[in-house]
Amino acid sequence: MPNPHAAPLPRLDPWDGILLVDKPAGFTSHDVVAKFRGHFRLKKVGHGGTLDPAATGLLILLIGRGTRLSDRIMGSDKTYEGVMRLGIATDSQDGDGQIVAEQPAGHITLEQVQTAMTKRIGDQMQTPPMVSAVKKNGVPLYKLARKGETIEREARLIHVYRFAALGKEGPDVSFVLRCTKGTYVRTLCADIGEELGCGAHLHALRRTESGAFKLTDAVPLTEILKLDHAALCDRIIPLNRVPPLLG
Amino acid sequence: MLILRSLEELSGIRTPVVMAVGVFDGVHLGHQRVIGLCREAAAREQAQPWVMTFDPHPLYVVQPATAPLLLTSLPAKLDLLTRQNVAGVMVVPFTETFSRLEPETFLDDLMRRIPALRGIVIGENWRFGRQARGNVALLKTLATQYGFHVQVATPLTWGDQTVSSSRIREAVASGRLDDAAAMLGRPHAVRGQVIHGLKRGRRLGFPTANLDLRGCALPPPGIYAARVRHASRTHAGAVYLPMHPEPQHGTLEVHLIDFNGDLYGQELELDFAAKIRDDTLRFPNEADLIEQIRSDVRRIREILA
Repeated sequence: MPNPHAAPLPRLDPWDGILLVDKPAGFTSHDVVAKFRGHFRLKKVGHGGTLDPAATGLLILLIGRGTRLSDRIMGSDKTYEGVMRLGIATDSQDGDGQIVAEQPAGHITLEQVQTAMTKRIGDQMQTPPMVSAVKKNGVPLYKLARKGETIEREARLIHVYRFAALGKEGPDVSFVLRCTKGTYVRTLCADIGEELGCGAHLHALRRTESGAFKLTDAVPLTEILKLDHAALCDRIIPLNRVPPLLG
Repeated sequence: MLILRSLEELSGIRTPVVMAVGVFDGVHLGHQRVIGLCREAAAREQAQPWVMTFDPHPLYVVQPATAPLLLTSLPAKLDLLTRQNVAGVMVVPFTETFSRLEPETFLDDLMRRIPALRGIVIGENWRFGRQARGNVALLKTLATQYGFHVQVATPLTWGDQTVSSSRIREAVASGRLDDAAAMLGRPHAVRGQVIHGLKRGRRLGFPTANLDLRGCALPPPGIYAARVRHASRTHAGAVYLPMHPEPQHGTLEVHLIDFNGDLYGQELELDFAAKIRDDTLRFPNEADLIEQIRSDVRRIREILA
């Protein structure tokens, strides 16, 4: 016999869960959240780990009670595909910043780049770049950087599982990287450029995996915005189907 | 020594691991060299030496029609690996799905599931992944991307040729038991459970244990001297490997010299020592047959003494 005093089961709305989005270039991760939230008039929407504005690929939207998974999804390992451009160093370490040095890089081989990448596999301390969302006393570093300030940053422990140079076209080296959360890919690229003596920056970046979730299962933002509510609910992975171990 | 059947069981391990990878049918002297290099590499890096092997034999999944008769069953292989002083053996189930993994995917999975993996030791001819596309060169490329090291054992030669499981199988199948033993580092052995036969030997005064050894590499039909291990004791044995075995009564029968007892359902392991004669003589009456068996047993006693 049902217990009349039992608390009612929490009702899950059909949009409580997570959604895998392929983020377009040119938007901040927050822009994507804002667009999505506005379009579908949802109250609680967040995301599971920032992608830089120029970066594309897997952005996990957390919807309704799905926002509870924030720590788990942000904390999981990530895989990226990217392009590193040798010979040009920028202040932001990516293509959006000001060029600070230009040097010839035609003599650098793919093998040399791979050797430098292999050295970076494993545990290491990484100092976040000045142009980053890491906060110091509650102020994001990029706001200080805009004012021309540079301050001491605390190095953080990261781990690189895989770092593979896949091919080289002119100064551009395409690569795959699998690493822990909070790893600045552009900082790895800039460090490699420095080690090779030519300088380098991150020219393009695409996230292909976040924990157990894969970009191949994601939908471009423009497609998502075309869906009606019912079709959107079909796309959302409900909380009870989110894999318990995110790798 | 630990025996694991899934990669997940190794995922929690914190100490570094160096893994000797191979099918290792027979655990012959060439395999032992690969495993020895693994032990040395592990000692150098304060890591645990492990062996990764596959079951069933990949050819039974990939080309079942032409798969070879094996030198070792899985339990025999595991017993031999136990004597190689490794921390553990990872037995990867070799399924059809597994056989279709691209070599890069297989390795990516491996590195994700065993984060502590620091090195892989293989023989020169090891192939992995879909259509055996993965080879030493590809493994070395992937090693730089994932930051582990690869060590390739130089092949062991015996009599101007490389020691390989297929060469030992050929030696066994053509009756060159001494060659097989030289490459294995021990006599070729088979093991199986005793089943009921026709009880003909018992009537002749030479009771035999019948073993079903389908799938095992066996020498040609004939009479053999063998050392028979049963419950940690060794007996001299006279083996009859018939030209036309009836599988329901076993592929061979063995008379244990100076032994009396019930062996049904128990496991015997035979080391083939030497061939006594072919199975070509035919006997007009039982008395002649008994006389021949007596003389065979006499010779086997001398050989095994």
